[in-house]
Amino acid sequence: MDRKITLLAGFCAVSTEGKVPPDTVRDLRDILSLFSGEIVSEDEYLEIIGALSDEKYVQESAGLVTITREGWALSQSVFERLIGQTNFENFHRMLADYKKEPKAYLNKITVNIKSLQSRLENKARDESLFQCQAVGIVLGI
Amino acid sequence: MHRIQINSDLLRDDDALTKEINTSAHRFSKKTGFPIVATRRNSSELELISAVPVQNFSLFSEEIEITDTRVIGRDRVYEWNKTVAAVYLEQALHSFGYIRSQWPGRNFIKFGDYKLVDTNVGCIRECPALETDIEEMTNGDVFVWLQSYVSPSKRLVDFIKESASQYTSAELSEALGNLKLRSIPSGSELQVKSILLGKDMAQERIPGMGLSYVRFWKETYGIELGEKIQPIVIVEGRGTDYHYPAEMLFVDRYSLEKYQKKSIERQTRAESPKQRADKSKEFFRLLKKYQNPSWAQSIQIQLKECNPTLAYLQNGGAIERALRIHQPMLEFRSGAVSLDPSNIFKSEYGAKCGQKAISLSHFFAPTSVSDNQIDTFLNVLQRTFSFAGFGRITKSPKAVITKFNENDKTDLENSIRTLDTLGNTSNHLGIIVIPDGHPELYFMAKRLVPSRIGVPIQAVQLSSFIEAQDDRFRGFRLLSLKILIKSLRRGEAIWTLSDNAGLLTKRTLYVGIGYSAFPREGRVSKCAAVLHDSRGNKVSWKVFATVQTRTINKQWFDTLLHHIREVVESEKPEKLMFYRTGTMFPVELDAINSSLTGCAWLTPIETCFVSILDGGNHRFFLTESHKNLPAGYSILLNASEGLISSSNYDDRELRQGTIIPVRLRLEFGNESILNVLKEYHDLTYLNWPAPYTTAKHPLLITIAERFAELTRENVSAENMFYLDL
Repeated sequence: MDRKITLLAGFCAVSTEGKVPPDTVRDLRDILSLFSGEIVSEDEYLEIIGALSDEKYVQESAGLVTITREGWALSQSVFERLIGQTNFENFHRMLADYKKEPKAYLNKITVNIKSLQSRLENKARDESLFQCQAVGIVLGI
Repeated sequence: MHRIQINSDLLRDDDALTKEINTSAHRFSKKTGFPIVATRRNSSELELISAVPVQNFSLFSEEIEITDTRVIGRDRVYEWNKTVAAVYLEQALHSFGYIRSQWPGRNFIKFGDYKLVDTNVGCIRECPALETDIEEMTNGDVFVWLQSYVSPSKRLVDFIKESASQYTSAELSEALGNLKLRSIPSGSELQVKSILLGKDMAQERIPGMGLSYVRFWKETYGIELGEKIQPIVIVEGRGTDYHYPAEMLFVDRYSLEKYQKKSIERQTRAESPKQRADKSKEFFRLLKKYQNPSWAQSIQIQLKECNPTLAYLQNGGAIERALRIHQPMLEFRSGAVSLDPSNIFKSEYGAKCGQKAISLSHFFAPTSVSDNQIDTFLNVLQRTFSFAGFGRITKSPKAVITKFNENDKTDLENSIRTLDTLGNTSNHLGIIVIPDGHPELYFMAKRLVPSRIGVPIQAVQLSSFIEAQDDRFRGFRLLSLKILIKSLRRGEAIWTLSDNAGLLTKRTLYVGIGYSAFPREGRVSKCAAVLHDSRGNKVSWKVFATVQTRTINKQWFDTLLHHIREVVESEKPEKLMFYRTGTMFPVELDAINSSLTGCAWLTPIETCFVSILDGGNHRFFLTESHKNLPAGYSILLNASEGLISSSNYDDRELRQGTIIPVRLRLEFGNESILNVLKEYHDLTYLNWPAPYTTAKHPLLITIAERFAELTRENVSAENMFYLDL
């Protein structure tokens, strides 16, 4: 399951009447990182939210995320297909614990989040040299 | 190739000779239109390489005899292609109306093409401009980095027009005496001798030249003068007077601000990555149409690629690798960690320094502000501070409320001078409400309140204060954080990294070096060295006076080592990493090496020195989205240099910022450039005042530069009280 769908499922699980307040949106980055087993940087996270928003699964305004009908529909169809998959059930349990008592849950997982960094084999990963361009011109002389 | 013997008299001042050789080479290119490479072969021999025969070459106005001439292959000439590209670009840009703003600078401005913009200091002219940086690739091609921007200037002709109704001609002359004027295009400072008002640019002739002003500026610089009738300014030159149209002189920004007693407020014209890429394409298209007829026989220029991919640059040897560095974890009080710095505002995370009890001892506000308004403001501030878990702010029973006349600077100054000094300053705080558009009151309060009364002072804009009255002000959390930062003691931090910066294993002590940027007359230049450990713990600092220069010499570096010795010895690091902004000159590197070699107590510690250079003219964009590269994106240029994207954003309540590349150069030390980039990247997350984003520089550089600046202005840096990071 890609991180976009995971995050959408996460929003649905912690939302109240389809709305996820800014603080919860920010908390979910730590939980998503823990679930994915790798650190999700802020811009990557905002990019995922941006992609969900572009595809009209959520609406984002001043940090508040509102799940659209399309978002709910996609999330529910994914839920149905993934029931019974341990990995996804773990994620669902994490979110349920968070929703019950956010502060206590975040305290509880702090050691695990911390260990994410020490688990990193490489602090840096190679990036494709084709997806980025430099501004300027090449001259042959 | 030509060889010439340099007269032994000229060898006495080596620096002056090197400068003169460069200037002469530039003069040669301007005069002949051909590039030339001038290199010292040995101390008394100069080698000139050109595509055309060199008839004469002069140094210090003295013609030098050519002793030997021979033909060589151009592939044997170091930096030949770079020199050719530089001359080619200057000539092409000139034909498109761009003029080099100052030699040997790399900025070209299209002075003739301007937009008039109204600002609080009157009319400003904004011109399109290009910054270039030329790099020779290992395959022999040349990559020209391009950065387009808008160059603003306040032209003298506009100043005179605006002043005509306010001043008599005597007052105008006096005003010009107080302003620094610079000429276009050289940017050199000028002394006005006299002004001839209302002259016709098409009719008047330039003395000694016979050309009209309109024709001279058109033929020499390609500039069409915009004002038909305007003043002619006569300025003093070397042995002769120069006559300028007032349109071609501009008023130095800082002297104008000082004169007008206000800072220029103008909308920043930041360009989007797409706009920059498109301007580069447009320039490429123009170059395709440009031909230099005189070069046809000797030099061919091939336009190969516009906005190349990193893969293209890697093939040509301009870069080595592109990497993305993972974000570091941040650690708050009681060991709670998170990726999100804004958790500082949640009491369950809390600030690393623990809770603080702060007593409000002074409140300064303009006379228009009522006591009720002050109470409303303080109530919200106290609530926010406690709610964030920072501790509490109480209003001291002896709190002094001072009202001042906002239009009379001396009123506030006199009030502060009459107040008693507080004995125990440990937890006291003063707040001042500054009327908008009065920066002079801000600086005066920042300087006087800490030194006279002995308490730190937090400034709040009047507009924010008024918004707070009906709950419209959104900045209380950040204001609380700023107050908390002002209460920090040595060794304390707001948050730290949960692991060593860059996940490196060596116990490292980082040293950020900051200077007071522009030493002023009568003020002692200051240097600040700020240190912390591998995770941003145990922040400490030393501030000391230096000679009036930014250049490092041995004595200077010995003094720095002397000042940081105590901290270094108590921390026992395995590695000491120095950071400084700006270019390192070879003479400085020699001085540092010699200082380190003679420093016995540093022998067991590995030392590294990293220069933080402006990477602003190295622009990239993501191919598909045309966005800036995200923070953490790094490009390894070679074994000792790399670029890293970090945020240049410091407005607090918004998340999106301008990401610009910073260029790091490992000047010495055994660390790999990749590790240098990783460490630097993590340290930018130690940016306490901006919890929503990373910063361009590590915190210790920000603190060091601010300390150096404030202590130069006689603000004490005994503790962090006085900082507005």
